[in-house]
Amino acid sequence: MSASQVFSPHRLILGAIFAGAIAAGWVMLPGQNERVAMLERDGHSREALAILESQFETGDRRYSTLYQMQALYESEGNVAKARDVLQTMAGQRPRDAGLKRKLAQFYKATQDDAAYHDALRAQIELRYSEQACRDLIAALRLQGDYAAEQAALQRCRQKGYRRAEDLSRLAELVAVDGDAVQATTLLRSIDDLKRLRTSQERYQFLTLLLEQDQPKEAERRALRWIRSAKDDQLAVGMIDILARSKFPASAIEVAKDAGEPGDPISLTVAERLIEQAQLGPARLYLNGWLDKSQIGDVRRPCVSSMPRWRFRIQPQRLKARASSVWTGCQHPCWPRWRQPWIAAG
Amino acid sequence: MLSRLMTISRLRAVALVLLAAACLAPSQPASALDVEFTSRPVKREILALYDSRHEATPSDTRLHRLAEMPLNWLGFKLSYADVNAPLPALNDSGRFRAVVTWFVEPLQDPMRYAAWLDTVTGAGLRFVCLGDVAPPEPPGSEVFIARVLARLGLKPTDQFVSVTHNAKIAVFNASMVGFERPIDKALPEYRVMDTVSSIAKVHLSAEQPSEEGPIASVLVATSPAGGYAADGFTIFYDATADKARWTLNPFAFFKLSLGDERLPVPDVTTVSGRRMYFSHIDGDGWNNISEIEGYRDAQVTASEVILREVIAPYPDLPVSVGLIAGDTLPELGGMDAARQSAKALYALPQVEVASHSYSHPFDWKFFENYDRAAELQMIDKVAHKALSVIDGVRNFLYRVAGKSELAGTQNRYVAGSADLPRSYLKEPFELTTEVNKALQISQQLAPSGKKAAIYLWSGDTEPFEAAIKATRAAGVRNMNGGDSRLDAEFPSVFYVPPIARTVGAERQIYAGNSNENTYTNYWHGPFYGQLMLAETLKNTEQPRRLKPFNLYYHMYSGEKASSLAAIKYFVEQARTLPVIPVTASQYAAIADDFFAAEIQQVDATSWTISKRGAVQTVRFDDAADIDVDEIKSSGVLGATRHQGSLYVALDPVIEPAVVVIHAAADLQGRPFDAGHARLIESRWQLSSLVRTQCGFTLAAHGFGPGEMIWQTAPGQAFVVEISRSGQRLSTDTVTADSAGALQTRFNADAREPVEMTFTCHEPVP
Repeated sequence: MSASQVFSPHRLILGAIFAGAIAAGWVMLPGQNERVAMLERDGHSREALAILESQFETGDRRYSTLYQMQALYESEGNVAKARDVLQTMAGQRPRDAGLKRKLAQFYKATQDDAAYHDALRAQIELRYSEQACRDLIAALRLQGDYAAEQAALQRCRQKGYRRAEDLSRLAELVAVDGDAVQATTLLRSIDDLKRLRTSQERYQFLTLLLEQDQPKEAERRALRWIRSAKDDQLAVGMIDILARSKFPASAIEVAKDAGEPGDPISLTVAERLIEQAQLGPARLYLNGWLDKSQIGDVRRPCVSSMPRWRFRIQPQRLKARASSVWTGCQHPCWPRWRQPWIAAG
Repeated sequence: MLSRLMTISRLRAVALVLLAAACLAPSQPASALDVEFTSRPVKREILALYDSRHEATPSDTRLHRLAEMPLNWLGFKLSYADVNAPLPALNDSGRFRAVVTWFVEPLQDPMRYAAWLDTVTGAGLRFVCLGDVAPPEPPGSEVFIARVLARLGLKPTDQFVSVTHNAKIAVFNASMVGFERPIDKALPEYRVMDTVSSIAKVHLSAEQPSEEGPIASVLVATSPAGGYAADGFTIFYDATADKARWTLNPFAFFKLSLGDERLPVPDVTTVSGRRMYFSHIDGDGWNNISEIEGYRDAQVTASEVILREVIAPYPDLPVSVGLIAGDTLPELGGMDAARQSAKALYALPQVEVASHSYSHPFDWKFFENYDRAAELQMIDKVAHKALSVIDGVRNFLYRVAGKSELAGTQNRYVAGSADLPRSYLKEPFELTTEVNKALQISQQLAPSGKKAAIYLWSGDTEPFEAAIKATRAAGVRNMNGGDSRLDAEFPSVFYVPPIARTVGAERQIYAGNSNENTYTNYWHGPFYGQLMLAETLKNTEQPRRLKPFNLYYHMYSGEKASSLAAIKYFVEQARTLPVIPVTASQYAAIADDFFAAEIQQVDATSWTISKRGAVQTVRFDDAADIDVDEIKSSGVLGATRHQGSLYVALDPVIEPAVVVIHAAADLQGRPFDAGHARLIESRWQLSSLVRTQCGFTLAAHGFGPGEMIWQTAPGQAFVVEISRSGQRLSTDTVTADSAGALQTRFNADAREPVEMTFTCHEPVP
């Protein structure tokens, strides 16, 4: 057979196709990672783990290797090794927010609180997450680490956290520190968005405004709350705070707009008028009140408008548990209504 | 002459009592003991009043969820009464040590209640108030409330501090407040409460600045007449985390509020000086195919995996296996093969026969007033949902592939989830079937003569009264529920339940610990979650032993490698830790008898404990300065110390036991007579102690090796013979060390009782 016959075009083409097929087959052979995945899929996790561990021993620190190792250690219940590998992964990819989140979840699941809090902080620093802020703040608050809670609240706020309940809590904490200006700013920012909802928060904001000699703003906001809430208990509380402040005239101003003789608001105003020895106007208010209502009528809004807060037991089994509601008679308004009536004769 | 002798004798008695009081009860007011002591019953019963309009049943109450565990731990038991029902008569209230309330919602008839409270507290009943006294305190009630609080040394006012950022803490007792969480930096709002007499011991008070000067208010106080803790200063609840922690120290608060009396507390955690270990398995997942390598291909069921991996290799660790009868009944949707694995399990001597119900109710309340028609309607709804087109195709493909169809989709009478009120719905619910037949089926699968001993509640573990009664009528113990956790996820003793749940006239015993379901996000993973049980075990051992070591899981833990690894970790722990393995039914019996035990204080230093049934340990707290005098006592095997408490081991055959204590310093120097020994701790349960001329005999039974520590004379040697029915099993010679600690480890099998004879080997050098 001559050379021309051996290297004939069709033979060359066939040879090339054959060589290409071999090369393609070689390329398509499963690599170690695919092999591990197949073993894992078929339930041979120990064998898969053995392969990965031997790769690790030989210096393989590829992310895919570590990822598979970590998952297998977890599924085998080897928490210590799963943790080590996860930490190595996080070290390799310090800018991976998803990995930071996974690390935080792992620490939470393994109940390493300190590491969990640190991981949440790192996650927040890397990429702001409302959920991470929420979790971190709640965890620190439950722990009673107020300095850390306050720092987390401040940092999260800087990062864009705007959860009203938590900002209100921050206002409480800074108010206790004596920083009434910052507390007022915080509460104002919440109230401007109409998200200052609980009586307690509103009382605090009102008190802070009055402490900072801003009675007009206090009056304006109090009036808005009273009108929107239609809650006599809240209104009475507001009037009481205004009347007992350095600006008792504000109470009368608000009462003028929000109440009328005979309602609980006017009762409170009357009480304050009596304190200021203005018995005539007080009697006018009270007569109107007595004409319109019975004793029981005043009590009813007092009780029914009590601040409520749910106290729910964490369901610990799959079955739901009945939750109990705690309501509190936070303001003993009963004894109060009797005093002005007696005093005014 | 006789009268003079009697007088001298009486004087000596008084002097002895006073001397003992000085030595032993430093925290008690002297006036309480400055009289001649007469034997008296120790009142353990506390009247727990709740408002059923807000907390429907006793187990829904704050008192049950929060207060009852610490009260149980202190030795007290609660009797619940609805404040809306007729309140106990004055003469009936004498049996109570105190009345405890935790009202925060307005009562329906506060006047009637306030008047009653005034009467009973006026007659000397202690009053422990958490929250408000009688909200909303209507006109006319002030006089009653003022008198009630005056007995505590307090005076209510009508002032209220709503905005607290200027308030400051004035009095702070760190042993009473800041228990699990410091007082909040921003104080909760509070009512102003004054003191009127020095009998009120103020533990927490705040001051609010005002123009008239600071307004002080008591927030937490105790007195000989009871205690008061303002709402907002008891627990802290965080709505975001949906978690709570105690601010108040409930142990210290209740102890001081209830008289701060030294008493032997019937203990449900300890036997023979060691923490109890028991394990029980709910049968859920019995027939599930394990995913674990080596078992998956062979289609081995989870129950078989548990048998092979966790139970059979540990003959030294008892475990109670609760079978769901329906799992074994093909006519209900179960599998006949389950009977074989049940037989194999129950054949093992360390396995206690238990039932986990017949049809596996999820929602027990549904069956209290059972309506089959309603149940059938629910089945129809769910079955239609389950047999969707996708499920149909999926099941078809499974059939083609020769695999089992998905549970719950092939049989409309087998619930695959908690959407239906129970698992096996084919037959109408019948209580006798659910309890008696279920127990019978378990028992039939056990070797002849092996009885079913305990019924383990299923589903929501909230059985109704008749169901609990049915288990008692069937002659078995009942247990489950409570989900005790004390770890980073549930970081408060709030999550450690009391011993039991009161349901009408019945009592459901709670399990000692929670199971893998709560640790694995309700079986959604991570499946290694139950490894975190270690935290609860640690935290319920220190600083006070609140619960035994209970390894509680379901058969489905045999499905996953990581859940199995967690279980295996704890059985290994149970082997190595100084615990005493007992059966679940024994724990339930001890828990039941906690409520039955009666204590009589004979004099300042001795008590009789009767009707104690299975309770064989009493505990003295703050006991560094006392010790038990086992020679003067009757029915005392010995004692051990843990976290400042003295755990006294009682001899089960002696009824009643008499426990005599002495100042520890008096007993420390006392030499041991030759052959005398007292028990410190043992892995076996001991009884029938008889002291001989030089040595002693006793009966023993238990699981694993006979590890014991006895205190005896330094260097004292004993020949110890172990026999059963006169047949000698082993003979060993053991010698106490130079401190007198005699440590033994016998390898005899004591699962059946053995007799032990300790005979002096040679005189003490």
